[in-house]
Amino acid sequence: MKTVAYCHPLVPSEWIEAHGLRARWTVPRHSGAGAICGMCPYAQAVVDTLAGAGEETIAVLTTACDQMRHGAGLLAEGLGDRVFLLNVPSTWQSPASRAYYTEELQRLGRWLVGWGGRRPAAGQLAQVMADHDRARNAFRHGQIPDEPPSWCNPVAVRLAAEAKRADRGGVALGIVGGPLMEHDLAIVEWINAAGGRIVLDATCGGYRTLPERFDPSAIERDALAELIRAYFDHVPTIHQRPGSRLHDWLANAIREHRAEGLLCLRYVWCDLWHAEVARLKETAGVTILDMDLGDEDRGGEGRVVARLEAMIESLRKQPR
Amino acid sequence: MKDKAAQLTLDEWDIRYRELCRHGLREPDYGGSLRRHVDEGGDRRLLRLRMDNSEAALRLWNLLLSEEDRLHRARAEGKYLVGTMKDLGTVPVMAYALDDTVAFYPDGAWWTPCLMEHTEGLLALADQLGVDDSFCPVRAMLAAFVNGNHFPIPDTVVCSVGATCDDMSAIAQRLDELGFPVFWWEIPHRRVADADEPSVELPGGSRVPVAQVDFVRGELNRVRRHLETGTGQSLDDARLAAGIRRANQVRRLLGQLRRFAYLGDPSPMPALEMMIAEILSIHFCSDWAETVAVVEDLLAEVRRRLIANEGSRPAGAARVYWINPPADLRLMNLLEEAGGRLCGTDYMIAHALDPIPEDMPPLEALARMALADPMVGSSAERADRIAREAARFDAEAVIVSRISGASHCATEGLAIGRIVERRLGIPVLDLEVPPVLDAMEPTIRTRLEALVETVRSGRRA
Repeated sequence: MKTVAYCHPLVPSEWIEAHGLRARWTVPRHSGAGAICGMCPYAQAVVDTLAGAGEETIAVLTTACDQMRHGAGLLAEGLGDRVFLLNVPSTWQSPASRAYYTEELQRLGRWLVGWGGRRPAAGQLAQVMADHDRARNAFRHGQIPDEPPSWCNPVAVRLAAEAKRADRGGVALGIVGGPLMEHDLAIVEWINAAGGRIVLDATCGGYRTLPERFDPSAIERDALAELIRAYFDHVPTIHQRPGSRLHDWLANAIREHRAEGLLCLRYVWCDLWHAEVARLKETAGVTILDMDLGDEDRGGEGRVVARLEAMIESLRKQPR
Repeated sequence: MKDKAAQLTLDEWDIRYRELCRHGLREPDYGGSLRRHVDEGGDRRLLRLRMDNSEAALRLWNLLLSEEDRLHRARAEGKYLVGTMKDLGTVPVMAYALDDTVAFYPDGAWWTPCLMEHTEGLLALADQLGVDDSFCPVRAMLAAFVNGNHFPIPDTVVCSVGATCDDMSAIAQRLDELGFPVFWWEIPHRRVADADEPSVELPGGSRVPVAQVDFVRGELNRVRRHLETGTGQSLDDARLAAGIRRANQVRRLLGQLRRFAYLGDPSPMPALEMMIAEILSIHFCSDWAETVAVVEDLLAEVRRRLIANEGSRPAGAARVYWINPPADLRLMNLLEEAGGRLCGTDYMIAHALDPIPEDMPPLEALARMALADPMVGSSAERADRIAREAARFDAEAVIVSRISGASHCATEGLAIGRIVERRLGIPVLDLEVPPVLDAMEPTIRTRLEALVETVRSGRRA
């Protein structure tokens, strides 16, 4: 069975699995071949990782960011049509954009069939959706899955587990930004050592980008329509225009999780997150620490830790 | 007064201008000496440029450098100003089909730090607004909106998103947040049609699925409604068709100009003036009629020089195909000083140079044109068109002019370079320059000279 690697929350894992293929949020690693100047380290790591994946892996990338869009082109030079580029609209307020997303999922479905998948039989999509919805809901309520799930970034699940294990109280922080890579898990320990704890994971592929809960009666009526509602109408991402959905979601989540500060982890050359930091400072209602991250060493542990310590120390001194 | 083709410094142009006036030079209302753009407008970069000595070039430069005045005058006259961003050539065709409506690209402010050599402080202000030098120099536009010292604030801002560079999408979003509401419309990534999917040909030769054209046509219809609401006018098909015909008049003239200028040897019009002329195609520098007149003048001058076998540089220069507009205009001079010349270009506006189809409903034609944008497809597709055009114009080398910080530039140079080298077997040089390249000039000059030398050795072999 083919594994379908993806790394964007608007690629519904349910849709892939309903076609009888294995969905996997890819956790990228750099090949060590050297950085391409100006390229987002995450996008490059995704390209490096998928370029080295075996024949059994096919990949779905999206147009949600320009770097990944061009990355897909680079990847296609070697992998050919084993790479599928899903057009994910940036606009979300017009019915036409929603319809376009629907057509794109149908096109994805045809591609999956071309790679050995089968058109979902009656009830199959509904079943996968119900299963994922249950699992996601348990995760939302603090239950850590035993196995890495297919429906989100597995690093986000491990982060939740680590954050739970390491929680010794302290200043409550949220993290927001692009998708986490394996080595980013160190941030839990660093925050903990500095006297803080993570109460909110708003990174891409984590809690923020889980789809809305499905309505069982709507699934029964039209499963694909309900899938699109839960994803396209509700997942707040950085590429959407206007960008208000993300800021609204974040302001609510910060209140709900009582975060006292927010750490914005953004990759160097990621313009989308970078430009939003100034707005986040206006809308989040809490202190923001803007952290630009390079490749594997993410700009040096010492620098990151020192900035985290300074942030947490200053938050501790504020009246709570 | 016709003189042999030459490139002049600004001091030399002062003398030339006085001579032209003595010989009865007739100019449009925005005419005058180029010096005044330095003295009154602060465009200090002119002091470092070499400009073509023709009357046609004088008119071209004056049209370009008087645009802000023209926009302010339009505002004072109560015209409706449309700030259109990123689509580079589509929305202005619609806007200029309306009465008393002027469209311009605030994106054009990306050249202001170059022209004013940073004395205007736009990039420093952009830094303060949270958009630092990891972004493309188009960030100058954000600062220009905020300080209001350059173009007038438009009545509406219309921006295409989707398959666009992240810099523009992110900066436009900041604008929206800073109180300049943006009307967003979507251009999806252009894809190849599946085997059993109906497709259509676009201007420029690509094919896309009909479904993508339908979607973009719907988006442009939203833009149409938005413009109708803003201006209180009806933008019906007849008006749009007339707008397309006007745009095509400019495009056809530019097509002829490019053919003559890029195939003639010696090169009958320098790289810098040709670049500015090509860029007029996207919004006619806020004055369609004058754009037509300016391009006609340039074409006449080029024809005259071709007949006289005349150019400002000797024949036999290395024929270079140029990709992306450079952040510093001076780079085009450096190419020629190093012994190179332009023989073709892709300034990211190839779709604004292709004639728009006139044998179909106008929104359908505009949708096809918008989808023909080289930047909304893959780098491989862009490279394919570049390779075809470079071959047609007998290019001996390709320069990819990287735009610092631009999201597409990290990888497109690699992809284009590989494809062009494989298909044409000619050298490809990747160059990145800041808005003012002076500190890097010796290095850049050396690299350009090395490219030209490589081309010449290839000829001997």
